[in-house]
Amino acid sequence: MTADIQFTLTPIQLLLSALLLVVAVASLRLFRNRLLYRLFFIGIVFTGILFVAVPILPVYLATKLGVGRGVDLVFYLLFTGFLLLIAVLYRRLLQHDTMLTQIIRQNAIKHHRSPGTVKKTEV
Amino acid sequence: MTDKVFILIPSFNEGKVIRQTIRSLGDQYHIVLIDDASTDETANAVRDLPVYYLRHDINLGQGAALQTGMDFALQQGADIVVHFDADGQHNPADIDQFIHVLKTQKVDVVLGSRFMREDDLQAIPRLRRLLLRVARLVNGLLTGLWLSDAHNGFRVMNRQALRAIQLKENRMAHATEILMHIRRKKLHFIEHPTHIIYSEYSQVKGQRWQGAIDILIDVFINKYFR
Repeated sequence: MTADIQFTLTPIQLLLSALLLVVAVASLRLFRNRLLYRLFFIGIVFTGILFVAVPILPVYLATKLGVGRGVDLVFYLLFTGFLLLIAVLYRRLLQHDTMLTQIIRQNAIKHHRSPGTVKKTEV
Repeated sequence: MTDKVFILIPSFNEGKVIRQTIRSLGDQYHIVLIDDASTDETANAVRDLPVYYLRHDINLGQGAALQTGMDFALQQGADIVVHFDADGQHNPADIDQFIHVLKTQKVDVVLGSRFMREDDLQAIPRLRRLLLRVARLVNGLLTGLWLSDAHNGFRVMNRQALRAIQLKENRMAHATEILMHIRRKKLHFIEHPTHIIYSEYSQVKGQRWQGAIDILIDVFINKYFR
């Protein structure tokens, strides 16, 4: 005897899953040459689709982990991921800031205007 | 042997006073004006003056302007560098005195202090005095250097210090960063009294207490997140 397993998605589950897939594709395109970022985003999207498709899963995990409701678990995960993302992006921003400063500095030095008359310094 | 002395003046929209500040320095030094993308008449105001004129394409902040000036001075073979404010707050007569201290005391950096003479201390507006005492405490905790003053822009340094100090902090927190470099690179330093002129102009242009909080945050980020 075989059991018939019916796995159907409601319209809202389908819509949310489709949206998450769009985010996944966008992130793959967005993070060029950034394998870690891509894996991070795909991981989030995959988890999201799983939670949408099987709503009992976050509830089950939350009970196992002792964080109460499934929605609490999702909130904690999102909050942590959000903070991590801000930290990573802020670090990138600082790196760009440093590069920009160096370019502007080199340009300023290269195109400096010298005094018309050279001053001799004797102290 | 003569020393090549470079006076570095970072400037942002100081067109009204920059000419007067530069002329007050006389003609015995190499003067470097680092225009931090001013949008006023600064460039024209100094066009006929005997200064090296460097301009940032984008406003980066005083720390970045000073580092640009220090890199330039190093390239030009400077022996001694002086940090000097554009708004006329500093006393040109202090320059030779500080250079004398730098040489006779055999130190790498001489830091100006407004807290070593009673007259200089009384010249500081009350609220600013309070802020400076808090900044002194923060500097001490972050750098381990317990100075009498904090964020005094008047400094004199030799070539060794010029090489050792590489500012990453573009904005006002560079003053604390300089102390961090002094500590880490084991540079010898001394404080020397200096008189700051708090004119109506400089007070309007000067830092406010909100700026002090920003500096604190910048120092923290620079220390732990870069």
